[in-house]
This record gives sequence, structure tokens and C-alpha cells, in this order.
Amino acid sequence: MAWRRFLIVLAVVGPLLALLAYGFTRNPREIPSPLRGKPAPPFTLTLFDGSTLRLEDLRGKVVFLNFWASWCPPCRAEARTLEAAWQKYKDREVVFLGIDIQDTEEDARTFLREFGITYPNGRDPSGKIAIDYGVWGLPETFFIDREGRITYKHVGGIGWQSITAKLEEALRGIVSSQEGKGDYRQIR
Amino acid sequence: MTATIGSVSLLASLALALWGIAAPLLGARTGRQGFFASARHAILGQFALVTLASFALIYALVTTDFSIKYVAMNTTRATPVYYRVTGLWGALEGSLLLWEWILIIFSGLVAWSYRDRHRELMPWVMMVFSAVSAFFLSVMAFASNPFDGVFPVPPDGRGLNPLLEDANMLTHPPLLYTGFVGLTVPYAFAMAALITGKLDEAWVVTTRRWTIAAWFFLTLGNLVGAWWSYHVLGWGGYWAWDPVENAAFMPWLPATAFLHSIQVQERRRMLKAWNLSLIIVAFSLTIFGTFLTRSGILSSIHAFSSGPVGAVFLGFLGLVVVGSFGLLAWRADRLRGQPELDSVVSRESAFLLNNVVLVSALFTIFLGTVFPLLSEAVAGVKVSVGAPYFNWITTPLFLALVFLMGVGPLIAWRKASRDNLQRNFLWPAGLSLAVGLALFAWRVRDFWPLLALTLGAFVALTIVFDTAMAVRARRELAREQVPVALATLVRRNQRRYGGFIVHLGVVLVVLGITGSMSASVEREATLKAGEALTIDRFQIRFEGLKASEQPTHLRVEGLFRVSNNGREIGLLNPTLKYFPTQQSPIGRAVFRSTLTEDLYLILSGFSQVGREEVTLKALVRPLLAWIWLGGVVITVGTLVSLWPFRPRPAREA
Amino acid sequence: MTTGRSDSARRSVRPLLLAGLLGLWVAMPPLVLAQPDLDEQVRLVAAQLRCPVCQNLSVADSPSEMAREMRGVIREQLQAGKTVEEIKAYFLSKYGDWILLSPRPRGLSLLVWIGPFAAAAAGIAVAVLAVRRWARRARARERPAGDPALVARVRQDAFSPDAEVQAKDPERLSPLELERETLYAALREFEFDYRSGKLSSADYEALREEYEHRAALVLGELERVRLSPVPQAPVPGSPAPAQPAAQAVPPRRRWRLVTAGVFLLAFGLSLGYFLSQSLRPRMGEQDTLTGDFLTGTGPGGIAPRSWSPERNVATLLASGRAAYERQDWRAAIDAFKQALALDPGNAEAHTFLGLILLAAGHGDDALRPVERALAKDPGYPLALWAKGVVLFEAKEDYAGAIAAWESLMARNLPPADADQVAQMLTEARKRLAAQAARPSRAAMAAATITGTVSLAPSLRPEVPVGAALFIIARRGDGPPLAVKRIADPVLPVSFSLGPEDRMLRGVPFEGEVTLLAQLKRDGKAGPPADGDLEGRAAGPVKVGRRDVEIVLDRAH
Repeated sequence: MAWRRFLIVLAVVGPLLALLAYGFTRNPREIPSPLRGKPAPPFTLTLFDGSTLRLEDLRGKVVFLNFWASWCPPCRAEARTLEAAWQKYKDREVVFLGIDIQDTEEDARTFLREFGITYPNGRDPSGKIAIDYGVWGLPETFFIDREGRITYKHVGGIGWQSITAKLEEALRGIVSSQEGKGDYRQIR
Repeated sequence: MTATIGSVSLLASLALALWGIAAPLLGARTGRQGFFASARHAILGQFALVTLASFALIYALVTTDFSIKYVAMNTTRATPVYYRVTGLWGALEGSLLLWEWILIIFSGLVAWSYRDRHRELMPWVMMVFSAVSAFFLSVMAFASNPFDGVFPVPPDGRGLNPLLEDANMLTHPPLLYTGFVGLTVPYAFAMAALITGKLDEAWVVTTRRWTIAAWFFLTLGNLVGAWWSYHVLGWGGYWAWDPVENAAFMPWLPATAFLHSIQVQERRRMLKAWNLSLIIVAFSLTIFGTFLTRSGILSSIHAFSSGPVGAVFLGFLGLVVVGSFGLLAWRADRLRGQPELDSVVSRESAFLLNNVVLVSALFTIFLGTVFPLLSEAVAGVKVSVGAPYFNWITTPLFLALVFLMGVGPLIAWRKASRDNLQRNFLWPAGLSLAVGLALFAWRVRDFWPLLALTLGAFVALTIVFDTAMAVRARRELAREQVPVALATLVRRNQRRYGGFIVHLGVVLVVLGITGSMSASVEREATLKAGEALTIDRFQIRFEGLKASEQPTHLRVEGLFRVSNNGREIGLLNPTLKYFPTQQSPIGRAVFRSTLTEDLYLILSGFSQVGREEVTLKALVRPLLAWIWLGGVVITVGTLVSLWPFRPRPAREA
Repeated sequence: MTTGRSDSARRSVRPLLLAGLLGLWVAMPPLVLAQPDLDEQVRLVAAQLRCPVCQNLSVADSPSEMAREMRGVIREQLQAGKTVEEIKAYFLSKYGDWILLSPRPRGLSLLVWIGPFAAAAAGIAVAVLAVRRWARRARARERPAGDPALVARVRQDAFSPDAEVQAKDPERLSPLELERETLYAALREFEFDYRSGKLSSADYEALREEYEHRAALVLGELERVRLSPVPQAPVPGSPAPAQPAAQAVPPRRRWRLVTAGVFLLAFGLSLGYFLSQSLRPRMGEQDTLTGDFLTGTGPGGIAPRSWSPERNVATLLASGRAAYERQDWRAAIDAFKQALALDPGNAEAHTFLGLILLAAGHGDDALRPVERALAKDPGYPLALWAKGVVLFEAKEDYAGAIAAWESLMARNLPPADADQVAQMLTEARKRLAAQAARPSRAAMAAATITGTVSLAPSLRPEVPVGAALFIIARRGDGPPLAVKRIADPVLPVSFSLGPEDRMLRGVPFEGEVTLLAQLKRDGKAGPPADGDLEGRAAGPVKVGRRDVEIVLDRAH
């Protein structure tokens, strides 16, 4: 009888402990995005050269959308890689687009000059585009396919291999099953 | 040298603790009394050694001995001496040592107070203390030693987390730890009762005062914690239903239930297994709380270090829960009695209901706290469970508790006669309903606040009426004057009237929470010098910025001239502190507290380009000060119920 | 408590009154509330959303830039006429369920909405059923009948003045005596409850009689025990006296106990072991808590607990590097020193020792080991890099750092490393330029006040440890313009006050100022306290003066 009761105790406590132990494998601060596979929220961006750009106008092309800020070290770390990838893909119906958030215009321009960035970039001073995309870390990169659907999201610095692999997938319209993760900074 | 003394005394007391576990077992096997005495001596030895280790760490902190890693991480040469001392519990390793120290002080007190009593229980009580102590000591010895060295010795330390540089650092953690650790006393006695099979009321009666004391420290620790986050975290709130806050609050619920239901056990010898379960749950929750705050599995606004000890605490938690409930399961046959009640309507039933509500509240808060994990594990959805949920779901439960608090004094133990109940109910209920109507007519229009205030009035009125009736009875019985009669009553029924006063304190806390949650006003504005913000009756005029250099940081104050309906009431200066070690500034809000409301100012930001300009957030939170006054009243009530008015009877009388 | 006609009439009226009041309370019309203004509406919505960048605050409470932007979005959407639910749905579609502070009642989350109420309802049901069963059991039991003589004694004893005192020390009583005291206490409680109007006289009589008889039975039992030294027999209604545990456990049971103990110990140990194996502390904010033990991902894994003395230089270097990575300086130094013992000229070990010294705050000594490495292998890239870093960070010798890094760039570096070095080079050049552009000594002096602070001969020089001297420059009576803090000063002390001491950047340090010196015993800025000394410079001082004399001549 006592043994049966003891087993009941174990049956109640065991799963609870397992659940708490499971907690160790999670990072409570990461926010999974519900946007993967959904249409990319439209926006109009004023670029640093003064022209404006509408996301809808890029329909039919694959868009590599990168949120960044000049004060974020991982953004600096990935900047050269992004520019190199742009040079490789710019003739293949791929558009690279950078959106600078939580930054001053002056710092942002210095950043672009320092890394010799040639793909279009603009600022989102009110943070509305960032909220539209559910941004919570920096940098964050979204891959948008020809139909305007988000195929992949990467939080944190992205590497050459991921960029090329995910661009190829986006060109073929394949939606990734998971988010990517690199070194990131919490935005302010 | 200091490090060596500390480490060696920790290791030596670990050895003593292990012996303290083994000795009663050997004693039970061989039947030699010497082993039992030795278990007690093991506790006293640990007391001496852990005290030595604690003083060693304090000494190292005060003398900024940076060869000890803990000291290097938690003080700097510029840290004032009292913050160096509080560095003892400023981070993980030291707080473990403080915990162990308080535990061993409690154990020593118990060992000394009952040195020639409870011959059967005491060896096992000592064993449980030693076992808990052994756990903390081995965590310190093997996983996070506060005396670990650092090499090379840094020229200066890193310093305490700036948020912890606050006067409450002196009070809140020690109070809360004392509350947590105090629960070990009834737990140890309960375990001893289970091990020996001596399951009568002796352990309950013996630990009653200890439990009240532990409950009091727990209550005060939570209130001081709320006060701290109210005036330091600077978001204008005092309770965010944060996992860490929940962890500190959860043990309070079974402890409160336990305090009430042991009164039933004392009178009727029933609910034995229930009381044992409550105290096991309460003790386990203190370990769970520590696990939660040290493991980093849930995110929290409060500053805590996470480290590898989380896993070790989880293992210990499992051990405690499975071991204690296993023991309970093993003894369940002996716990089965023939419970009887003289009447369905009796204070026993009211207490039982109070227990059900308290445990439901515990279940709710526990579920809400771990639910994000459950949801992610089972459904793969990451959810948040925060303040709006907890406020919504716990309000009915807590108000039910307040209602029961009012009903309790009206019902007699064992049996309530319907007639008398009706008569006793009439005045308090009628008057409190009238109070409710009056409040409604005045301006309280929402359902929940109105209900809370009506119930609060009900509780206060039942207490006043009950006391008045008792005084009248006393006067009839002994022909005493009112004050004398009251004094005699309190002296003869310390627990009862102490409890009443505590209940009044709780009513004040409810009043404060109701006012500040349901009727607070908030405004945010950007002001140039000379401009003013109007909120409620207050006008807040920005007069300028002031910067000054402090030993550890630079501070920028905004000066605001505040007037109430045109009458000037003074200058308030919310502050931003810039610490060299921190990236973003730490705000220090200021508030002007009166009995009717708190005015709370937060400096959100400032700019000095061109004209000085500040962003100011102002809050008016009515009645908030009553929460802290409630804490004072609770303290008074606890003192009344614990005060040794009458000397204990002579030993052999 | 007489029952007259008027009383009974009142009794029937009062509950009606009460019911009327209650009805009124419940039926109070929900008056139309004033529509909350826009600020308040924004706050109400924001309070339900979790701020994505904070630890655990709502968007309403968070001071972060992100939360402010989100409040802006809420305001705009409210102005555009969206409902609260629509706005919540918008944020939900962007951040997922995580953003809502109270989970949506669907799927598994229904559990948190239903569970508490289900638990409370079940608990109350169980309690009510139990209470009724217990009450029925009491009614079914036959009334006890005690010896009338003993009943009389009970009446006498229960209310005697020492009875209450005795009850205070229950630890020394036998179970029977304890039972007697409990019953006496109950009798006293009835008496009091009756007198204070909580018990009707009928109930009081019934209860008193029952408890008196029960107490009488216990008294009888006590008498019997006292007369005959036979072991006590259990009394009906009182628990069996507990047996001493040691004898009560039969051998088979003891085995079970031992097995259970062993199981528990093994359970706890394995839980502790596996969990601590699977975990490591987070290295930074972004790091996950797990190593590769549970998930097979993540860098690092478990740090080696103790270093095993392998006699191989490569292994030593590897373990040193690992220790360096996790900032375990002592282990790293041990490893590199051992590597040097085997291979005294090892450039990598020397370099790392230098880097460790730098990281530990001993920048002055860091250059020597690095130079040693370069003496062995002048082109060793790591040492060149380290030399640059040491010069850059510890010595502020930017020209030297640039030279080191440029010779590093001349080697064939992997592109990623070259990028980083290039970045550092730009930074160093910038700093070098800034250094060069810094005003010359003469220009600096023009913007600086120098002088001495001395003590008036009439005051005894008592400077406690931890005291500090503050020299404060104000314009007129305004806020401090510049402040210098000299810790543990030895008077007289010379000082200089320049632009670098300004409180606020952007406010120029020039023109005429008033100078005040304060010797604060507690070393902290703020108003002077007892025992603090103060002195002022005579008249306003022009910035650039070199010989200001301040005498501390006033004690507080």
C-alpha cells in the first residue's frame, strides 16, 4: 500500500521536475516569429539618397531585408559579408535592402561609408517598420520571395553560407521550417 | 589566509553535517544515547564554523581582499563600508553562505532551546537540519565556493550591481531569507514526527511560535521587497507578478494555510496528513524559489545572478519533495484517524475553506509561473503569463479570503448556533454594506474595488464587534473596567488577538492595493524649463537640471517644483544615475507619500542640446502608503501574539 | 439574552433589512463611466503587451525606446479608430503569443483559465463533503457518559486558575494529560463564546455536557493508570500512544527503508550529476544555457573540471586557450607556464601570458612577455596582434600599436582577421589624430585653475581614512560647474581643475568662478556633515589662474 502511494508521489513529482529541467534548454528571452511563410508587411522607405522605395514595387524579385544599427557590434561584424553577397547576387533578381533603426542619421551614414555599402539603405525613425516585422534583436534579416512571402528569418549576425543557401531557397520559393540564430544584441 | 579559514571551516562543517546525518541513524541502530547527543553537538559545531566562515567573508569584503574572487566581483575600493557588508548577499555564493548561516543559527537555537526536551524527536530534527545544511555546504564546497581565489589579483573590484546599492539591501534579503529558512523549523519537526512515528500534536504545538515568526519574516520580507521595487525599479509599481516575486510569495500561501489549520489539529486531532503536506509544500517552495531565481529559466526584472547551481537546486528539490512525501506515504496508515466535527457550521469549517482558497491561490500562481515552460514543452508555443492575467484571476480568490477573514471571528469553535450567528452577522454586514453604498455614492464605481473595500470594512467591523462582545463578557465575568478587560483578554488570548491585529494589517494592505491599482493616474510629458505638467490636483513645474559626482557614479537630477491645487508643497528631484560599469542609466524615482495618495515622479530622459529639456512621467497612486502601514500593523500583531507576557512555567511544576 | 416579543420581532426584521441592503449593493446601477482619455487608453492597451526588449515589463511600464515606439503605434491605431482587440491582434500577428501578458484562452492555454477555478471548485466540493461526513460521524456516535463525581471535578478543574498555566507547557504531558488539557481548553472556550454571544444557551448546554463527560472519561482513565502501573490502554476517542520507532520497525520494513534511502540518494545524485553535466553558465546575454550535452548544439560545452597533467605542449596550449576563452585566468596561466616549462621559447604561451595580464588589469606588465615572444619569432602574428592591443589599451601608445598592426597586415592574414585588424587600425589612427589634435600644454593650462589647499593653523588636522577633498567651481551660486575629488588627501595638497573635471559636457569651463574646498570625512559628495571642513578662495577666480590658495578654515 505504501509503495503504491509512493509511486503516486513519483508520478506527480517526476513530470514536474522534468518540466523544470526542460527549462534549462530554453532561453526565455527569445521570441519566435509568427511571420515565416506569411506575406511580408508592406512599407515605404526613404533611402539615404533621398529617394523612396516601396516594398510592393520589388514584387517578382527576391528581397534580402536586413535591420541594423550602427551601435550594434554584430551588425558591424556582418556588414562586409552582406556587401560581398550583394555583389554576388545583384544580377540575379535579388535586392538587398537595409533598414537602420534606433540610430542617428549621422552615425548611420558613417557606418555605410565605413563598410562601403552599396545596396539601398534607409532609416525607420519611428520604428514602425521594425514593429511591423516583429524585430526584437539586432541585426535581424528577412528573406522575401518573389511572391512577397517571408521564407526565412535570421536573428543575429548571418554568415556567408546561410545567406547563399537561404537566397537560393527563396529564389525557388521554399519556406524554411526554422528560424536562424547568430550573435545578436537586444534592441533598446 | 581569510580564504583558507573560510574554505576550511566550510569543509569542516560539511563533515560535521554528514556526521549529523549519520549519528541518529547509528543511534537508532545501536540504541546508544551518545549518538543522539552527538547529532546535537554536530549542529552546534556547524554553528561555530559557519559563523566563522561568514565573518571571514565579511572581513574580506570590508577589507577589500581582492584575492577572493567573490570580493573582487562584488566590491570596489570606492564602495562604502555598509554596502561592502551587504555584498555578503549581493551575489550567488555569498547569498548561499548567508542562507546557510541563518539556517544554522535557527538550528542552533532549536538545539539549545530543546536541549532537554523532546528526547525522541530531537535527534531526528537535528538530522533534518544537518541534511539541509549539508546540501548548502556541499553546494558551496563543490559548485560555487565564496572563497574561490582569483589570479592574478585585480587592482580593483567590479562592484555590486548598482541596483543593489540601496538601503533596503540591508533589510529585504535577510528578512526574506529568515522567513524562508524559518520554515525549516516546522519542516524538520514534521519530518522527525514522520520518522519516529510520534505523530501526535507535540510537533505542532512546539513549532507554533517558530512558524508564526517565520511567517512574519516572510510577510515582512515580501512587503519590504515590494517597497524596494516601488522606489528603486522606477516604473511606479510595487508588484509585477514577476516569476521571482511569485517565488518569494508562494511559500507564504501554504505557510498561512498551515498557521490556520494547525489550530484545528490542536483542538480536534484531525487534518494531520494535511498539515504535514502543507509544511512540506511550504518548505519545498522555498527551495523552488531559490532554484527559480538562480537558474535563469524564466526571465525577471529583478537582478539575480544565474549559474550552474540551478541544476543542483533542482536535484535537491526533487530529493526533498520525493523524500518527504514518500515518508508521508509510508506513514499514511498511522495518520488515518476518525475525524469528527460537532457541527457543519463551525470555525473549523471556515478554516478548512480558508485552506482550500489559499491552496487554490497557490496552485493558480504556481501554474501561471511555470506555464510558459509547460506551453513551450507541450504545445511548442511560447507564451507569457503576466500581471493582467494574475490580477484578473487571483482577485476573486483573495477577496474570498478577505471574506473568510471576516467570517472567522463570528463563528464559534466547534459549533455555531444559527441564531447567534445571524445576530453577530447583522451589524458588521449591515454596516459594511452601508459603507459600500456610501463609497459608491461618493465615487468608487467599479465592481472589484467596491467589493474589496466593502469586504475590508466587513473584516474590520467583525473584529471590532467580536472584541467588544468579548470585553463585555469579560466585564460581566470579572467586573473589570474596559481597558483592563481588554488587556486581560489580549494577555490571555495572545494568539487570537495578535491574529486579529494581523488581520487588520492585512485589511490595510488590501486597502492600499485596491486604491493604488484601481484609481491611479499616469501622465507623461516632455518639459522645457519653466513648463509644467498637471496631473490630478498636482502641478509639476520643471526648474532645471543638476549634475553631481558621487563616489561610484555620476547623477543627474531634475528639479521639479510641485504644488497641490496652487499651494506649493516642495521640490522633488527624480534622478538618473550613470554608473561606469553599466550601459544605461539607472533611474531613481522620487515620491511624495501621504495617506491619501502618492505622487511618483520618474525622470525618463533629458537633453541638454540648446535649452534643457526633460521627459517626465508622473503617477498619482491613491492610498498606496496604507500597504506599508499595514506592514507595521502586521508587525505589531505578530509581536502581540509572540510576546512572552507570562513566564513559562517552572520546569518541574 | 431574554426573549421578549419586541426582541423576536426585531429578529425577524433585521435579516430582512440586511437582505435589502445586500440587494441594493448588488443592484447598484453600473453608472456610465467617463470615457478614458487617449493617454489612458494607450496605457490600458500597452499594459497588456509585453515589452520585447525588457526582462519582464509591460509596454506601458517599460522605459525602453522600443516600448516608446510601440506606445506610439498604439496611439496611432487608436486614433485611426481601431478597437483594443484589433490592436492586440496586430501585435499578436507580429510577435506571436509571447507578446500578450495574459495568454489567449485557447488550446493548452485554456488550462490557466479553467484550471484555477476547477481546482478551487473541486477543493471546496471535497471540503464540504468531508465536513458533512465528519459532522455526521459525530452525530452518529453515542454520547459519552462519565462518572458524575468526575464530571463535577472536571467543572472545578477546567476553570481553576492554574489549569490554563499548565496547558502552556504541553511538551511534558503524557498523551492522556494532553487530551485532558485539550478538553479543558475546549470547555473554557465554550464558556467564553457563550458569554460573548457566539453560542446559544441550548448549544452551549449540549456541548458543555458532552465535553464534560468526555473529560470525565479521560480523568477516570488517568486515575486507573495512576493506581495500577499497567501500560496505558488507549481511550476511545484519543489516539493510541505512539510506539518508539526503533522497536516498531520489523526487519523487513527496515530493508524497505534502506532501499528507499539508497534509491533517494541515487535519484538525487544522478539528477544533480546529469543536470550539472548538461549545463554551463551563460557566457553572455545571447548565450544559451545548455551545452552540447542535451541538445547537441551550442559552443563550448562543459568546461573541464580539473586540469589533467598531460605532458604534451600542444595539449597544454589547447587547454590554456580554452581556459583563456572562459576567462579562467588561473587555469590558463598554469597551462601556459607548464607549456613554457617544457618549451621555454614557446611564442604562443608567452603571448597568451601577456594577454592574460592585460585582461586582468595589469597592463603595465603585459608588454614584457609579448616582447619575449617576438624576440623568439619576430613575425609571429598573434604576438604582433597582442603587442598592438597592449600598446593601444594599456599604454595609449597609438603610434606603436599602428606600427605593430601594420607589420601584421603585411603578412598573409585570413580575410576575417584582416577585417578586424583593419578596423582596429582605423580606430587607432583616429585616436592618434585626436591625441595630436589635443590642445597643447600651454592651451590646456589656459583653461585650468591650479593652486593649493591648506589647513588653517587653528584647526587640528584629522583626516580619517576614506575622507576626500572636493574642490568645487561654481558660477555665482549656480550648480557645480566642475568638481575635483582628491581621495585621502595629505594637506597641504596641490590641485588642478580643468575642462576634464566638468560635470556636464557642453558647458564651457571659462570666465570667472567661485572656488570652494570641502574636506568630507565620509568621502562622499553632498552637504557637509559634522566634522567636515570648508574653505573658499578669496573672491572670484578667473579660469587660467595658477596660484589659487584655499585655506580650510571653517569646521562644521
